Amino acid sequence: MISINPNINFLDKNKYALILSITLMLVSIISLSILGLNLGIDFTKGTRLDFETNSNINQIRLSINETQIKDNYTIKKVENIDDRSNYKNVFSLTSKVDFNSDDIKGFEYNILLSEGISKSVSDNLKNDAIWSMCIAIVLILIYVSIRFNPFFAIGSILALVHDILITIGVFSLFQLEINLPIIAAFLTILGYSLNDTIVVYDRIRENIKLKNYPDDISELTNKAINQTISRTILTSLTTLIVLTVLFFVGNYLIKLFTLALIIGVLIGTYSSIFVASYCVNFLQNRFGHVLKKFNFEEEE
Amino acid sequence: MSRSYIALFFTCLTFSNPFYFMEDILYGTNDPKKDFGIYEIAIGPGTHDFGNWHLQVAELFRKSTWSTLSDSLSIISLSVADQELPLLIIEDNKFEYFKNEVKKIKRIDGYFIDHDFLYLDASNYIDSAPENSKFIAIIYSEPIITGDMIDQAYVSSDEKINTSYRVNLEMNDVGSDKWKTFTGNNINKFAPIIMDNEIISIPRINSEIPNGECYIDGFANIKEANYLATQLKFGKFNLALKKVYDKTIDASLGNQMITLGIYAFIIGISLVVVFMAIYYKTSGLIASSSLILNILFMSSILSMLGATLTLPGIAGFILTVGIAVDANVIIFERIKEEVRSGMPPLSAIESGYDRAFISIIDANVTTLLTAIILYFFGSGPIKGFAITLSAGIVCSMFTAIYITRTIFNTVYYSKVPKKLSI
Repeated sequence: MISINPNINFLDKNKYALILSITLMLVSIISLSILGLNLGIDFTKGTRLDFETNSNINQIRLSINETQIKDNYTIKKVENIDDRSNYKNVFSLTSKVDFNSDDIKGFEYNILLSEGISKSVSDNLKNDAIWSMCIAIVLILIYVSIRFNPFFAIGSILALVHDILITIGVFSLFQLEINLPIIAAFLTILGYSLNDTIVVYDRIRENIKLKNYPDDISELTNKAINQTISRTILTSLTTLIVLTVLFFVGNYLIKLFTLALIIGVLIGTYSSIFVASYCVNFLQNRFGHVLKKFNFEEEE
Repeated sequence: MSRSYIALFFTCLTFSNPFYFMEDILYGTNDPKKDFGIYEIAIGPGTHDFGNWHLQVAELFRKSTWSTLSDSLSIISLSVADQELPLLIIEDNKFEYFKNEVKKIKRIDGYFIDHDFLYLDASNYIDSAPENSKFIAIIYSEPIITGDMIDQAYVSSDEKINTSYRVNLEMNDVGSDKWKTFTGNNINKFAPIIMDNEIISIPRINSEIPNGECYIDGFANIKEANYLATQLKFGKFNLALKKVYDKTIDASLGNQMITLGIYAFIIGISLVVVFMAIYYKTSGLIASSSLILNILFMSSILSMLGATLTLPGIAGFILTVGIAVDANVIIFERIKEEVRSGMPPLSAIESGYDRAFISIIDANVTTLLTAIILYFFGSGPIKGFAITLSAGIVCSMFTAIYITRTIFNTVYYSKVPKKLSI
């Protein structure tokens, strides 16, 4: 029987975790304020054209400089093709200004994907994405407050903010493009991290209910983390297996998206062990007198 | 056992409903669209100097820069009312080339800027034409009647011949005026109706139409007539639409995405199954079978809803695989704990399921909450993600809690084991 049944004092190691988390979050915030985000046309309006060709970037730039978007475009190579097609490279051309692919001439290419988004749609998408995230966070706060208590709610939200902030930070630091699928990936991370956190919380609550706990709140939390650690790691592993396969098999459209998920799952796992429970522990120790105690005993 | 019937039912659903696979990013064209409208023919059937025009066009194409074009054309004589009309015929195998070259001429050399080329099936007009060959009609780019000028279009049967149908047209005041002048000047000529770069009908003008009410007759079946009427009716919305979002993906890329998606999914799931089998042995296999059932259920629900699987949808699917395995992992870890504390196998299973239940519910309800919010406040692909995720959560709770327990019960109640394979 393979079994993970550790007895590690996680809270003891928490000062390292705290330093790590705060450093990562600070780096993210600094990167966000200095470098900002590389928003895709989903959020900025504009036109995107992905095409395959044998010409090199200089030839392509020369051709594009003949068109109306000459001062207003970005182009990058996104993939090398080994088989499938007569062409060797895939380039992605985006511009905030609408353009007609017919205008680009002078070299041979085959259009793989073209996308045009107007201001009204991109604004809508942006607002919807922000609003839905905010509302989701508020409702989670309420639900966890009712099912557990407000400290747990604050802990879970802090863990979520921690995860999303660091993932966005990575995207900002490396200037990776953020588009609608990436937002979906962030939301997936939100759901995933929450799931992880709640399972640990549930164990804390159960231990209290069964009066099967040491008096010290820190030890109580630590016991719950140890009891659930095997599950936390196993679930992350299975999810990471699927994601890693997708990352290596997938093409350029799916790689970034999978990368966001991989980062998110790793950070989400870390935060449910070190951030969420630590927050509860800290709040309960500091402000425990406000709520007196976990009042789970009275339930049911 | 009723549970197995439910499972069977869903499985059947999966196979009876086709599963929509990233349909929205599959096919598309890059042709510039021509709005709906009725056009005036500049050179073509019905115009009096048709033959002369065609000779002039042929002369033009013989210019040194376009001489290859002239090679793909041949001239055939058409006798109409005692008159011999020379026609330019394009052979089938040179048609695509010719079309592209004409586009270039228009764009680069600036010829025919105000005109568009129509390619008509020659065999419909000339008996002696080679099979599949086309001949050219040239129309003015500006339509005479646009979609917004058409008030009504409906089908009725021909009064004289019952086996024939006609499409009736009613135009508004602006349309009626233009139509009156146009038909008065162009009796016996043709007026092609074009939508999205395709000729959907090419009726001949028999007389001047004063009040904007006219009909196109000669439809042998009602289906054809209905099709045209629908096109005419809905063509009018074309002008009211403004492009706000468009996305076209080359079919090769779309197919590649599907293949990759399926590959990745199969490899990923297989690895998870192997992993679970190694770690949890028999129980791992039970969990894996519930995982596969879960995927079947999800696809059946998604196909029933007619949802399309896009990139965010795949994220939902992956998260679901994670969640589905997770519920079982929570249960199994619980059972292991109970076994370690000395409980006999059957009670350990029972207690493991009972205790894990609350954990699973709480964890999934919060995630479901997020999914519901995303559905109501999100847009486009985000909505699709929310649907996949919700379907996944509901299915995985059902399979992980209900189905695996049924299997456990079936396996272990008949023969109580001394030791659990977990």
